[in-house]
Amino acid sequence: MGGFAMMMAAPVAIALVLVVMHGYLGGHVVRRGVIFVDIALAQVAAFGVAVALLCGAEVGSQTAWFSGLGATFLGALLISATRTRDENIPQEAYIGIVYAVFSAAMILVLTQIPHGGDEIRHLLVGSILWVSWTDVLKTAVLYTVLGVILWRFHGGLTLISDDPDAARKQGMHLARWDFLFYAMLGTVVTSSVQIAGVLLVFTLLVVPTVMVCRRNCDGGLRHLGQVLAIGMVAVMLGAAASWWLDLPTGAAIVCVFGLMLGLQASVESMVRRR
Amino acid sequence: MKTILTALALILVLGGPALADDRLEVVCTVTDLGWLATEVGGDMVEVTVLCPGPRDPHFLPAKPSLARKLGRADLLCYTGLELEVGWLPVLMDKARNPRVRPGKPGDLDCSRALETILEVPTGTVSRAQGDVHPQGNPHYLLDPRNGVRVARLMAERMAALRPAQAAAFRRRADDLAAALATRIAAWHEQASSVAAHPLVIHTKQWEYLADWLGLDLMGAVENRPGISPSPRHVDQLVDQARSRGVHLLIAAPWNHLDVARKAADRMDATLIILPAAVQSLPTATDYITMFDVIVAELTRPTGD
Repeated sequence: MGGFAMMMAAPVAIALVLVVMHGYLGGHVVRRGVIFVDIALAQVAAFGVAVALLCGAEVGSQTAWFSGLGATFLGALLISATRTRDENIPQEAYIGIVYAVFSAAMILVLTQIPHGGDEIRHLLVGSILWVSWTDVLKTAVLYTVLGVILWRFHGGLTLISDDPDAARKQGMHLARWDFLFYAMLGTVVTSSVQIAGVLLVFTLLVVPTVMVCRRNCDGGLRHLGQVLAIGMVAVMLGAAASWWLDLPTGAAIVCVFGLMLGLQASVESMVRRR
Repeated sequence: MKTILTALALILVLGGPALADDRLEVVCTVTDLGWLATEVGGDMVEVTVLCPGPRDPHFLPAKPSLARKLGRADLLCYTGLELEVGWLPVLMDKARNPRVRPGKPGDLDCSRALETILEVPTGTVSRAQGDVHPQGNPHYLLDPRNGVRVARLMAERMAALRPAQAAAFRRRADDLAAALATRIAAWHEQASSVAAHPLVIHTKQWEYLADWLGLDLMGAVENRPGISPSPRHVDQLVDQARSRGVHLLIAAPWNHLDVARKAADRMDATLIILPAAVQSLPTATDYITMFDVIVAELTRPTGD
């Protein structure tokens, strides 16, 4: 038991911090129907880091970090520009295109630099097991700052996520609000992907919200509370499974989320049949 | 018309020697083999290396230029034991070079020079163990004695392909063996101080180095290559490393260094990044300086 506490306390703590932030943002992501936007933004950020390396920066340097952040904002700009009212083309199509093109562009950049390529690929496969308490603290501080900003703009962001037409009628500048949202989301996921990896970040963002939205999807406080509760239970179960069944931690948590959603769906269908 | 003819004649006369260049085109998959081939072949060969030093030789993105290089080869030297299995067969398909097809004189699996192959798995190999090499550990060039063996094998093959220069190839291989022999003894002597201390490695690839220098490799952080470790494995390894007083954690330049650094912190050990191939670090300019760097890093006082 001592070993479990020693090894898993910081990973579980960071997962809980991630659950809070991603649970909130996930609500917007699901209601906007832009499910893969986080993966696209993380990829654009990795492209930014690759470009910095091409210009001579070192992996992990400030230059590389700012280049990644700058690229994320560029990605946010691109994605907010792709909100369409054309029903034939869902926005996910553009998000997928952004992902594919920036992945390919990163490969092209990486072939031009002698080393550092492996480190960039590692940017997208964080390993939550190795998180330290310093990482937990840094992330908590960053998310508190971002959380205050999100709280300040919560009303506007919610209106746009739920009913863009009404927002437009009120005279809100949709593209600017979208940019604000995607820039915040991009900042969050580029830091969290380095900690937890693409798979876990995607899962934290989408699965709890989907489970709650099967019953009620209003984005209110009660909804948010349920999202957090589900997220925390899954993280704890996943971490425990990882320890006692001797499995990689991130993958174990993701699979627990999947099992919980499957369980919910089958219980619901049995209840309905009765 | 006359000027054109004169020009053509000039090109033939001047370019003739270049076109009729009798140098053996040797393509090597990795930088270590490239260096050995250059030493053995001298200016009788033209050596091209496919995988640049800083890249992990397990994963090399296939580019058309690599297939073109392979297409020109008279002799292909590769590590074998499936190190290049992820990309060399694809390039061979594209290159369509009959001279280096398996079984042809231009096909040289350098692992045939080995006397012993480490870690040939027994029983069934499954994907659950991670990216295991089913024919045994292919990182044998990290033992310089194997470098000598490979050099001699290369000399024999070059001699077979260019009988007129056979004696020269063999003499150069002898010279290299003699030069390396003194260094090998010196490195071994220099590293004897670390042989007593247990070490942790980030991923498995240092076994031949350990076998040669008598290093005590206690365990690997990423024990199943390519799969992230489980918390219990890490916990046990950290406990064991602390109780046995491990000072050093060894990683290759292409390992997940962020994770390696954190693992070293937990063990109160120092992370050292060793050149796992020639030119994988700027300091390891050739096969000899690579071992200079490895031995110097291993024996550097860590401050405690």
